[in-house]
Parts: sequence; C-alpha cells; structure tokens
Amino acid sequence: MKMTDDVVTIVSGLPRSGTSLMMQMLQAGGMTLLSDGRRGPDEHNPCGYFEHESVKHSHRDLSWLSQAGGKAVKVIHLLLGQLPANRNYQVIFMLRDLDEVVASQRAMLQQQGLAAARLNHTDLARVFAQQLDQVGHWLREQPNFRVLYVHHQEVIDHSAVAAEQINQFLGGNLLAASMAGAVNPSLYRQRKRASGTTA
Amino acid sequence: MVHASGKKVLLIGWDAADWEMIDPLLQSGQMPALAQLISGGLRGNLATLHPILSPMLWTSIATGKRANKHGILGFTEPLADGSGIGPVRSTSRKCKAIWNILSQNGLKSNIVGWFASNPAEPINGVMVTDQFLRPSPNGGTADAGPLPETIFPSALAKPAAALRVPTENLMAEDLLAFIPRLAEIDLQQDNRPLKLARRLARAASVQAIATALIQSEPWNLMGVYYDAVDQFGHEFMPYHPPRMDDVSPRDFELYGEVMRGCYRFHDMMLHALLQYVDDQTTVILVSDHGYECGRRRPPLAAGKHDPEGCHRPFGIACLKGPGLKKNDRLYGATILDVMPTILTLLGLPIGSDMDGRPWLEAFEKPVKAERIFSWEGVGDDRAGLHNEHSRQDPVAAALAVQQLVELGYIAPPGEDVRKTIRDTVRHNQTNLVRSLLGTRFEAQAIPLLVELAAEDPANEWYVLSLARCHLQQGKLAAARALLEAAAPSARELSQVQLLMAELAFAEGNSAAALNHVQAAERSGTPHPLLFNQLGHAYLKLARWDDAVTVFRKSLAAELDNAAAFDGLARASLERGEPAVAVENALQAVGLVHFFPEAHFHLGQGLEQLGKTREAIAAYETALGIGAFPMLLHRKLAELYRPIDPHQAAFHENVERNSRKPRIYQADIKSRLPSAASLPPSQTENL
Repeated sequence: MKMTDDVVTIVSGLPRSGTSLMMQMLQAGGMTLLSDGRRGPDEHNPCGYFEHESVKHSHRDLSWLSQAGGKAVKVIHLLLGQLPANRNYQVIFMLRDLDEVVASQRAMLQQQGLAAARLNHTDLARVFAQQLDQVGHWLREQPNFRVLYVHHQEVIDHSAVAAEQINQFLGGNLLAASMAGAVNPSLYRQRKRASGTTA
Repeated sequence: MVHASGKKVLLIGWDAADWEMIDPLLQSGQMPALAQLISGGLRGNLATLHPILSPMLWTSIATGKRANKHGILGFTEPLADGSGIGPVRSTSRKCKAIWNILSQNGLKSNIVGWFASNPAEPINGVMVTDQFLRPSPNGGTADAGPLPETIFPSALAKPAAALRVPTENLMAEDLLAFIPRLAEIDLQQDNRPLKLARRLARAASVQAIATALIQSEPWNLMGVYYDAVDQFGHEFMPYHPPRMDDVSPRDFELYGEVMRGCYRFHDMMLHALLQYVDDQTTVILVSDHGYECGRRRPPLAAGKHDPEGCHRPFGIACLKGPGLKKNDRLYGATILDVMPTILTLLGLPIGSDMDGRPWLEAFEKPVKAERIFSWEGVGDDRAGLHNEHSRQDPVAAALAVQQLVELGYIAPPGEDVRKTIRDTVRHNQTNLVRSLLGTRFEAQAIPLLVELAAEDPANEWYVLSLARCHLQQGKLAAARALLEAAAPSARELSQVQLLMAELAFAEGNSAAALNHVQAAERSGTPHPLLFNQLGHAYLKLARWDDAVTVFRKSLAAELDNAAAFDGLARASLERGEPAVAVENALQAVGLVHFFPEAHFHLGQGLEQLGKTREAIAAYETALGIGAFPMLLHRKLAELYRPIDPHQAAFHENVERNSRKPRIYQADIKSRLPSAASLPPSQTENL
C-alpha cells in the first residue's frame, strides 16, 4: 500500500468534548480547515461546528480525503476506524469529563426537541467510556496515526500552555498566542460543580 | 476443597439431541458408543429454559446462569458502531464461563465450536469459536484464512484451519448413509443434498479439530459442541417416519433416513473421541433441548418459519466417570446444572449466584459441594476474559450510537438497517422477558414489558404478559386496567379469560372466576399449557374432579409435562389419595427438579402415608430450593419432634424468628447518631 505524503490533521473525540473549540483554535493559529460550513453556528456552538458533511459518510465514500492533506478536519471518535491505512494522520483527541459530555449532549437534544438515548446518564457515560477505550486501543495499534490527547478542562484553564503543546505536536508553525486567544471560557457550560452535578 | 489438576472432564454438546430419537436407535444397536456410555454411567432428561434458543441455552450451560445474568439474548445483536447487526458475540456475555473459572484456577480448557464464543477469549488453553467453523465470506474454502479473532492462541489458526473440511471435499458416498437413494435426485433441481453436505462438513470440521486438540493440547476440560442434530432437524426432521401429511411419498422415501443417519454419525464421532480418554476422565454428554420427532412435529412450512416450535423442553444428559454411579438414572436435571457439576467434579466451589445445582446424587459416595459467594470479580486478571474495553452491552452501544446520529455527528444508516437494528433489539428484549417469566426474577420483566408494549401497543403478548406480571406481583388494579383495555376480540381469547379468572381469584370473587374459567375452556384450542392453566383454576375452585380431567387431557397431549403431574398430585391429595399423589409428584420432580411445589406435594403425600423420613427428605428439598419457608420449617419441626428433637428445635427456632418483625439496614442507620455528633475517636469505624 503506497503512503501519500500529505499528513491529515484530525480533530477527534466524543461529540461535545470540545472538538469545535479545537477546530476554532487551529483556525486562529493559521491552519486551513476542511469544513463545508453546512452546519452553521447555533446556541450550542456559537462559533460554528467546523464540520465537513462528507466525513459522516466515510463508511461508503472517502473522496473527501483527497482534499484533506495539510488541513485539519473533524472526525468523531467512532469514524476514525474508517480512515484508510495508506495515509498518515496526526490526531488531536479531545477528552472531557464524561458527565459533562452526557449533560451537554442531553441539553442539545432537548433544545432541538430530539429524543435522547433510552439509557440513563450513568449507562450512557459507561458506553462512551468503553468506546473511548476501544478507540484508544485501536489507535495504539495503528502505525500511521500520531495522537495527542488534550483535556478540554486544560484548554479552558490553561489555554496558552495547551496551545503551545498543540503547536509543538503539529510542527511548531502555528500562532500559539492566537490559538489561546480563541478560547472563550464563557462558552464552557455543563461545567461539573464541586458537588459532582453539572451546570 | 483443593482442586486436583489431574482431573479431566470431556463435555460433549449435541444441540437438540432427544431421547425419543435415540432410544429406538439404542434398542436396535445403532448407537453402540452411547449405549456403552449409558451402561457405565447415568442418563436422564435435561430440562431446558425458555425461550428455547440455542445461543442463550448453551451460554446457560457454560455459565450455570440464566439469561438475565449472562446477557446473551438471541442469535444476533446490533453491531457496536450502529451499522447493522451481526452474530451474537462473547463480548456481550456479562459473567464468567466455565473456561474462565478454570483458567483462573490454573486449569486448562480446550473449547471447540461453542455457541456465542466469538471473539475467542484468551483462556488458559485453546478456544476455537463457532465463527472459526463458519464458511468465510469469500467463498468458504479451507484455503481462506480464518479471522484472527476466531481462535486463541492465534498460533493455532493455520493448523486448525487446515483441519476444516470444505463441503466440496465431501464425496457422494459420504452422503449415502443419510440419503441411500442419492443417485435418483437431480441436484440441479433439489438442493437438499447440498444443504446436508454443508451441515455434514461443518460437523466433520468440529470433529477433526476436536480430535486433534484432545491429543495435542493438555486439558482439564475438553468442551466440544456440535450443532448438526439441530441443523439437520430443521431441514430433514419433517421427512422422518411416520410420514407427515404435507410430505410427499417421494420425499419421504428419499429423505426419511437422514435423521437416523445423523444420530448414527454422532455416535461414530462420540466413539472416536472416547478413544482418547481414559477411565479416569469423566464424560458428560448433554443437549440443550429436545426436538419433536413424532406426531407433534409442526407442518413442513411452519417448522421453517418457527424453528422454536420444533424444540421440546427436555434434552438429554448422560455422564460416566470415576466415582459416579453406573447404569443409573439422573432425575430432575436442568441445563443450569452442568457447569456446577463440572466445578464439583474438578474440585472447585460453586458460585452462590449460579442458578443450577451439582448432580450430587450421581456420585457413588456422598460429596459435599463447596460454595463461594461468586466467581465474578475474583481473579479476573487470570480468568482469560476479554479486556474491559471490549466487553459491552450491544444494545446500550447501539442506543448510544443512535444518540450521536440524532445529534447529527454520524450519518444515519439506511431505514432498512435502522429497522433491522430496532427489530433485533426488540426481539432480544422479548427473549429477556421470556427468560424472566415464571422465575423468581419475574418482577424485572415489568419495566421491560412496559417499554415494549409502549413501542408496540398492538402486540397482545406484551400486554397480556404485563398483566400477568402485575397479577403475580399483587398489582391487581394495574392488571385489571390492562385487561379491560384489551380489544373486545382479544378479551374472548382463552388466555385472557384465564387471566381474568386469576384476577377474580386474587380479588376474592370465586363466582366470577368460575365464569371466566368456563369461558376459557369453551374458547380455547386444546394445548397442554391451556389445560394446565385450566386445571390450576379448577384447583383454586376446589373442583378436584374437573381438575383431574383437564390435567389428564394435558398429559395425553404432552407426556413430559411436570406441571400436569404436579396438578394431579395436588388434586389427588385433596381427594384423599396420597399414594396416587406420591406417584404423580415423583413424576413431576423427575422431570423438573427445580419444582418446589411438587416436592412439597410429594412430602405431603408421603407424610399422609406415614413415611416420615421420606417426607422429611421431600420437605427439605423443597425448602432448599426456596419454597414456603415458614410452612416447611413448621412441617419439619413437627415431623422431627419424635425422632430428632435437636432438628425439631432448630426448625422451630427458624420459624419463630422468621415471624419476628425484621429490622432493615435503613432502620439501623436511621437510629445511629450522626458521625458529626460523635467524638472523633468513635467515627473511625463508621
């Protein structure tokens, strides 16, 4: 299998784990994004989702990859396994407290009038944890994937440090200060309180 | 108890094997290997569980637990990524199987072809999964490499794959033992010989791999599962004699020998395996259920659409080995007992969370089975389990993926795929409900039924089952609301009338109950289950003669019918016929050991006949499996008083203490002073 030269930068993680925030940071740092803008800003992501619709259909069509070399593209965790082995990928994998992720997803579904999974909060968080374990296990076995795990909380609390780490991981050619400046802590909702509940 | 690492058990599984097919073959000398096994050991019926579906049952055999504990709920399950469905996977199993427990105790298992064993667990030994034996998607030749997850250790993949028997390697002569007039069949027009060849090749593959492993790999447990009797049955049992009305004379002549040939073939495979075990090895042969082979076979077309309708509730069990009785009978065994029996044979304790019992009565000398609280969560790092990240509930995984689809992060699968997933989830949830009904876990079925009935309100079975569960749990108003909301046509059904009768009984309205029972009898089609329900209704109405009449009708329709025998025992007791009661109760417990009411009725009959010690044994058995504790302690105290005052005092004390109001943990906590109000030195142990 021939390896192509252009590395694809992937921003991945569970939905509502900060993947849109990371895309926004990369854009501010000067990276070109692969995004079609079809899913516009809303209450949950006021700066937009930075998605490319074709990525969601990767199980049957990977033609979007031909445009992705040297760019950053958002691919949620469950779709990483669809990526072909004949390319190199550098993955920024977002991690966030699972209670916050579940609460954020539920808030989004509720606001849109959609049905949440018929699983309680704990069971849903357990399934997501298993998915993350599985994806992590799979990533470790893929020689063509480099992975940087980034904690959403760290990005919020120490944006400058996080931005510098990400910049170093991606080769050091981005504007780390601009990346850090793209972080708006006021958009950090469903924050876990000391009591363990989410706001 | 210290396990002996030198002990060995050969466990052979013949899916759907049935004594009704086997006994005539034994009598005519056509199954000599099995005959030898039986004469040197014990044989008996093996009661199955409901629903009678092989993946659930073989997992119960391997775990000693019911489906609500082991989590295998059907043939298929949603794929974890929500893209469709696939064969049920071992990663969905929620508890340890026998091979995990042996692994953590340093004992070796070689397992071949077990249902729901894929992907292979990294056990101490060898695991060749059921999927290893399936034809590969690219054509199914022996040259096609097996998927790496289908066998452990992977180093055995190549040599084991080389032993698989491709269908195309079979010769016409190989089929003649099954279809003597094969030459008369136009294979372009009739693909049944090819179907037979495929099933035969798969069984031969299992045999070849098992025969190799039994010699080459060390083992304490060798477990080999063959699905061929069931697979042959679904295709060829309709042609077995006597000829069924919808089978043509020509098909009957051509294929009438297939099933007998299938059993003879299994006997040959058994003979071959037995060549590699010595007389210090215990051999256990079981089937998960039986298979209708006589007049109760469903019509040809119906049998294919309703495979479960062909299954009988009793499979086979026979065992032979050192320290076991010879040429004896095993009574009251269930598929849940196989795993506890193997643990006992290998000197390991049984988990108290297991639902079965070891067959202690099979041992020549008394054996005490030791128990631990549970094998779950103990020694997991040595148990050969899948990694935590790969073990999951497939339904929960599919629901979580569905949520991500709803959120717009994953493209929705096609409507056909979504429907298939929905149907699979609902089917498996229904199976879970069915596994709970009639057990002491029945209350767990209520929330599941509420959900299923909400999704499919037109489904009468969900609504009636929910009503029945409410009734069993004493929620009479909820049961009545459901029954009265049923459509008028549904309310005419005998099942609904019987439920209405039960409800009327529970409400203390015997006159209304009688009306409903008589309406049920008028409207119902003759079926043993209906007869049994009618009989119980007549018992409640103290109409003993009517009860006897319908229980006899039930037995005429189905002889292996423990509920009918027990009903007759109860009616006989009431009619003052204790000897008849004992006879019928013995029949009932012989068929189903886990039947506390039948043991109780046996005890009552024996007590009335003045057989005190035998009555004590029956009552103690009923008590041991959880029936009427206060009543039984009182009975036992009375019977023991003249012969063993110490035992009598024990039962009196238990009965007296059980009448005292209980103090629950919550009450104790509420009475404790709060930690904050205590000095620091007193809070350390709270």
